[in-house]
Amino acid sequence: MKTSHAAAGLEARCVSRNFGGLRAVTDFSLHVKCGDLVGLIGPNGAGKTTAFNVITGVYGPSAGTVCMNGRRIDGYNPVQINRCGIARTFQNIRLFQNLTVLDNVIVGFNQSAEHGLFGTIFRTAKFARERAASEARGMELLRTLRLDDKADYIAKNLPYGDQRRLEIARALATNPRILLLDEPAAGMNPQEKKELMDLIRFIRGKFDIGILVIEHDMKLVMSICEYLTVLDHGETIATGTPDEVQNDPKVIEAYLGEPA
Amino acid sequence: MSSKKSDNIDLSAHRPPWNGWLSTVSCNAPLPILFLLVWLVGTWIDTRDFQRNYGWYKNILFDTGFAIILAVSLQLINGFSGQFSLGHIGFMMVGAFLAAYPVKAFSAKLTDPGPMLMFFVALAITVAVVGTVLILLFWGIRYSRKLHPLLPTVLIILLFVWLMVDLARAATYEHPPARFILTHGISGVASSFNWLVEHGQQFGAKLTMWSPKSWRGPLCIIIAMLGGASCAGVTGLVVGMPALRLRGDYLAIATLGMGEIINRVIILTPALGGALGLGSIPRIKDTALGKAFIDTNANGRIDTGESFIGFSEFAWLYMMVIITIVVIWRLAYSAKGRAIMAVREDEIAASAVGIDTTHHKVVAFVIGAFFAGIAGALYAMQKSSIDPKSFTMQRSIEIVVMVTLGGLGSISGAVLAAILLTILPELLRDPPSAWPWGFVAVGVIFIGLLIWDWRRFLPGLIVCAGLLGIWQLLRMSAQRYGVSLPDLRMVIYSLMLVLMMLLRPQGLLGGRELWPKRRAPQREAAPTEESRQLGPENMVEGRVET
Repeated sequence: MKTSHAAAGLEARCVSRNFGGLRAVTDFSLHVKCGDLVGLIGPNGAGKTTAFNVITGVYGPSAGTVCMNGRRIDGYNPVQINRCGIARTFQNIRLFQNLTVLDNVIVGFNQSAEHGLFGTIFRTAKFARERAASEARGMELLRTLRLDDKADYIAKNLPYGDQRRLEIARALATNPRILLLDEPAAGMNPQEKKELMDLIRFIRGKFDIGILVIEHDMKLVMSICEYLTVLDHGETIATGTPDEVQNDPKVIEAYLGEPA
Repeated sequence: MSSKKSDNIDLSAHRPPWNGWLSTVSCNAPLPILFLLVWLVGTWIDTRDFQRNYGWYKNILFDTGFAIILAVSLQLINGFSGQFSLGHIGFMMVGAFLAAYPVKAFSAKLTDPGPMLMFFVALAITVAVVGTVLILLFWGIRYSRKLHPLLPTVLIILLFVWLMVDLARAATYEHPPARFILTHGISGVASSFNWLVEHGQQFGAKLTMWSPKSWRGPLCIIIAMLGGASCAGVTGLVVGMPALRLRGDYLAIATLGMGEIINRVIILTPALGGALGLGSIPRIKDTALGKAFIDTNANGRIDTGESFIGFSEFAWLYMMVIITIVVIWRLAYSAKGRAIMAVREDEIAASAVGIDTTHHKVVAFVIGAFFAGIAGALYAMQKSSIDPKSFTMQRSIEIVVMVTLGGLGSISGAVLAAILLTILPELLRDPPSAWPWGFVAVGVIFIGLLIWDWRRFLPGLIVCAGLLGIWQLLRMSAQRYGVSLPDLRMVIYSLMLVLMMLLRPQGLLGGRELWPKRRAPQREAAPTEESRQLGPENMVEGRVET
């Protein structure tokens, strides 16, 4: 799994992030290749979301490097990082609430729009073509995530599970190589969780992307991830396959407390 | 950036024939027709011999036009990009003064476009050079951070101290010696701008000679509008770049301050008339263009004189109203507008899907400022005198009220509210009876709309008829009890605003438009092969084996 030299995919090496005296993440290392399904777990406050935010450029790392396809991306802002092919969803759903479902997805295509201000104002043929194309792509993506019948809904009126899926669709619209999911199953019932697991596997296969999942739900993570990193108090306490991690005494301790 | 996904989709299946050049034609064809209509109405207004209150009605008409341009352009900033700006009138002021000055000084009563153009060119060159120098300076300061994190702060403090000392010491000399670099720099910029303007005049005169005689008037007006509007746009850029880092209330306060600064700077500029403002600006209607129609009554016929096409003041203003609405509409409901709205909805999520939030906020701000500048330039050429006192914060707030009352994120709402809030206070001066013509007018307006889609417009009809009824009752009871409605004008007006916000806080249209934002996209209803494969039973298999 580990490669020492520059390789395809997302690679974080010895990343640390401090907030004043608080060391939110220390020496965090991770490698997600295209096609991988990697999980990042840990109890509340372990620094999982901070690690995410460092990777996606919301914060810069205090130390360490983040590379995408061998190119250093630490210190980039979220927009640049997205353009490198890393897309993310949020723990608390952040949709564009007053836009329609289709618009939410098409926003992700924006960076590839080629008609300029002139085309927009005079509604040139190129503009019309590109709009039709982006709508077609948007519908295609919605169909893949089975949201196409709700394309004209205002996003905030969607049921919770659909909002989660729409957020994934929006992230996929930016054509990522690596997709980061921040607690995608939060607030879902077991049936929805099962569907989500299937969905995550499906998009991994369909788009051939690497997926990094933060999750609390051990069952979900253990069943879909091929590789796990466990954080506690900002430190990586275990890495490996689900089976290895499950039996790691440190992990058990972190989750259940010290043996009495 | 061609993506893998788009290659998989056969676009020809999704492309109806009118998405080609035909769509461009059908989109833009109504515009010349609308311009023609406006031209006809303008001609009709100017050739008719109105007996009573002509000036008053005409002023309401013009004020409505300015209000629409301002409200729609502010809608782009406040409604679509969600950046609450309270300084919009400042941009109109920049447009008004920087169009009025060259029109007054160089255009020889709107007949000499060349020197005016050269004035704006000189201004552009000066601003570009100074701007480049400043940008390089600030980049340098910013990148000094790499040497030491405290270096930028130290450099800025040193620079500021140097500037203060330089200016203060230089002021004690009648002719400051060369070692006062900054003082010389500033006066050098001023004198080189003057040099550019002066030497541009000769070339400008040549340009005028080359242009056909009948085009000179319209060219003057167009150059004044575009020049004034560009100045407003650049001001918007300069104001917006730092201010748009703020959010919500903080941004509102910052823009309020910026509007005041613009006002003060213009008052303190002697060339722009100081506190008195600029007077005797050549008016559109005094040119060969407008004159044709003023003379008509005497001649008994329309004499276009030397002009290419005689556009009246009304036609100029309402053509710009149409252009403003169309341009902002198209921007707002395009990919760019979608990104702007995404920034309004959630900045963090927007940047996570690759939208440069600052860029989109600044673009909306600059375009809004540009159109406010156009309104300003026309205002100057219509009113003939402009006064800094008429561009106060109060006006800014009136525009914000229009935008909010119309419904944030609704262009047609802004237009409606602008019309309503300009006409209403004037109507209350001498409240006319709504019976029967008010009801007839509402009925006629709504007949077409109801035939088109009665479900959507029936509530509107009921509300309008109810309002007219209330109006009529109010008027009758005021007569009965001897209350003077004109005295209570502002009370009624304010009460209506309060009631409106209580009963319908989302505004008149509440983020929707009167007519559909666009044609519904063509979609095939039948599921494709792929989505059928993706039935729940197949999805479990997960990764496709390759």
